[in-house]
Amino acid sequence: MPSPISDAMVGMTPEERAAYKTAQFAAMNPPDSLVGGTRMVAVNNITTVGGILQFEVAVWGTDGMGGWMLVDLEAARIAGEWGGNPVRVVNPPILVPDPGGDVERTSEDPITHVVTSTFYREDLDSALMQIAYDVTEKITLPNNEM
Amino acid sequence: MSTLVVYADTSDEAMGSDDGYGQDFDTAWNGTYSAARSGTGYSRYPIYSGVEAVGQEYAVGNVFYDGDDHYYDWFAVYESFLAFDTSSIPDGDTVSAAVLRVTSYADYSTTNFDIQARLHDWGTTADWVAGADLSGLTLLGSYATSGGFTATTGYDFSDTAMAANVNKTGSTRMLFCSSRTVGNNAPTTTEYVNIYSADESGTTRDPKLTVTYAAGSTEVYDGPGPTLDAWIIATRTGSFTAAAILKRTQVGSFTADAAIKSTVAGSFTTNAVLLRGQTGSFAANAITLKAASSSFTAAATIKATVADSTKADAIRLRTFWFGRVEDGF
Repeated sequence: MPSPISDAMVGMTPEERAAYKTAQFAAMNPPDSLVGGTRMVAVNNITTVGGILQFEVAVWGTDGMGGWMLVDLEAARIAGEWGGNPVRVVNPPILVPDPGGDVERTSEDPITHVVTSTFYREDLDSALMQIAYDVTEKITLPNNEM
Repeated sequence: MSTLVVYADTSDEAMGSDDGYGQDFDTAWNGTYSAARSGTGYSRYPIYSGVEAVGQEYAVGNVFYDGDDHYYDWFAVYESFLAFDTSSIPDGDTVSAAVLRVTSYADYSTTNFDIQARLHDWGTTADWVAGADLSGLTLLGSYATSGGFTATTGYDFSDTAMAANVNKTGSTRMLFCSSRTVGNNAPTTTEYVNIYSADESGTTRDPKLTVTYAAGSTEVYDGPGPTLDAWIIATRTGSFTAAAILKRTQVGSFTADAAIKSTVAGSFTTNAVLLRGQTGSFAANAITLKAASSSFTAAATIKATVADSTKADAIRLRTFWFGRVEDGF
């Protein structure tokens, strides 16, 4: 499983890495919507503003009849449930946890000195959707679902 | 409104301070909590382990070292240092909320505590902050481990003063510490947690700060009662007080130190005024009028037309009518 972005960033400064990752996101096509439980999330209008990754989020909740109902995100913003569109991301992540992934990160407990490994895969689609999912997770859905 | 999600800089650091281990190979290694907490004990050291550590610990026992068994009485305290590049927020914008989220790597808090985030500009290289000095750092937010701290799960900190301290001109830097370290409560066993730190490539488990902010706005009032130092409006129906004003229409009473008006339907008082039409009484120290249909008093005035009585200390008129008393012109 290739990790071209991680490989390309070897030797870069943190600022260069953040800029490089942002450019990769801006060049991607919007991923398919992400469905989690009673919530479906989609992103669109991916771009950069002042070197910062920017996109807009749309959210649907179940309508109780097997379909999806678009959530009024502006009403949710006014209600204080989230900050509103657009969403901007500084230093966006590109790795998502995956036990079968080929990117290994080891950590050592500072006291017990037990070393454990966490595996990730490089996946911009999933990383972007996870950001969108997290940023809208407190929004009240139709039928009061969360 | 906009939402800004800032993932932590990879310059994040963690430090430990301990006492009670290896000072003297010929005697028992008796450490003290006060030495570990202050950073004056056996050692202070950066933790290069890939995780952030927060909390403190006590351990006692024997260790075989250098050919001998040594009794040890060991205390350790951990602090972590995080930074978020929030400089993309325009200086004039208002931050209304800021939520810090960390992902648990492990929970060793057999004694629960609050993970506290405190404002601390540690620059680019972290150094130990003595436990006694922690309370002097602004508390930004906290999370109580009594609420659970399950590995790989993200937890939001309460926003005590996070939003108010987001740095719009650089990075928002902070320190993580235990509430029990702040309170000078010595550990009796393990009471620390490990947190996923920022990875160079960036993972979705990295610490992140989600900021809600809005562009700086110009409030426009058209209701009763505002008081402003200066105002330019087209139409006004309620009373107000202004130090200076440039108006086209006024139907309610007002007081102004200086005013330029085209039409006034109600009474007003002004120290200086430039009017095109005036239908009610007024008093002015200096005035330039094109037309006046009722009485007024002015210390100095320049008028195009006067239809009623006037009194002026100095006046220059184009048309003269009856009933005026003039000191000279």
